[in-house]
Amino acid sequence: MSTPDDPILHRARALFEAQAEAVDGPTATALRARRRDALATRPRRRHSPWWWPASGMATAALAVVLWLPRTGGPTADPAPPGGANGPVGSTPALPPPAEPTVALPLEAEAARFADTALVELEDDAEFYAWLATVPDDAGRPTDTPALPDTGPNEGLTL
Amino acid sequence: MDGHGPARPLSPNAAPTEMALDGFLASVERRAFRMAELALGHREDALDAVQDAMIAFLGYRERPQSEWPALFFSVLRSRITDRHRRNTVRRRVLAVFGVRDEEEAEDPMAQLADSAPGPAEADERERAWKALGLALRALPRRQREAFLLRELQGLSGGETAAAMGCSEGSVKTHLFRAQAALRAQLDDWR
Repeated sequence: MSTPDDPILHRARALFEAQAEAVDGPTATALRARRRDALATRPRRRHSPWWWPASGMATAALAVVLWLPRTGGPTADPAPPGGANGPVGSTPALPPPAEPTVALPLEAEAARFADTALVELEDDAEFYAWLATVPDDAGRPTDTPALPDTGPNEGLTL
Repeated sequence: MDGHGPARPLSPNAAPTEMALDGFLASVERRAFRMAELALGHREDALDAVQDAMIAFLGYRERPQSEWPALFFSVLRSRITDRHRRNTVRRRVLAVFGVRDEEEAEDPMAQLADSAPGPAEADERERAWKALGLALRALPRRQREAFLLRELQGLSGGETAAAMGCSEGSVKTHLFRAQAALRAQLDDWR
């Protein structure tokens, strides 16, 4: 840190004090006028703007709209042990903990989709292994002449 | 803090808080102006920043008077930062269109200092003041704020930290770097 006799810092402090004392006339007048204007300004009340509750409600509504499709909508809770009309003040049974419904970013969604596809592929690995050994024209009746190469929709009669 | 007189005679019925506010603002306005001038490098901008800070400070009038200096300079720091950012954006926009920023180029304060005849001591002081301003404005913002509040305004470490919204340790770090940079830039002051 600085030493007390650091000549540069000492000079900077002394210069600042001198300049603060030696404000020229026009600047001093301007400062007085601006102080007068500032004090004449009615102080703004520091309270929450009127639109804060509205924006909070809008945010909550948006969160619900985004949350409903992801979870399939709110499910009906099972009746509490004491019935729907349990004793007043009784603690209702808590639903089982649900999986977090935090909105995933696009990359996370893509990764999750890829994981699901891989799991399905592994489940049907035997089928795909067999499919790879079957020749392309297998299963075609032997008395049926091979169709000429056509476009994807040519030769189809519906 | 120098004690300059109130801007206008307050009526005898003026609330004590209003009289205290007037006295307090009168006592800090010149130092506040010089701090803003060093940070912004422009007289009118500095005056505007001080007035904005005064108006915003009135919202804290109910706080204990012992907290007023730190609160006022905290508000002033914020207003200087706002004005600094606004000026930066303005310069960039003007640069896109190839227009020179006249407010920056023609600072009436600089013209006044250059043209006003005076003793050699006053000229020397003006030159040193300009050099200090240039060196301070070349610093990163946080370092400049720490130096202005702690070294020049004389706030305590805790008050400076509160005004800057950081820890005292951060203030010490910013201050140390600012002092090192200023020593390098103002080496001819030795």
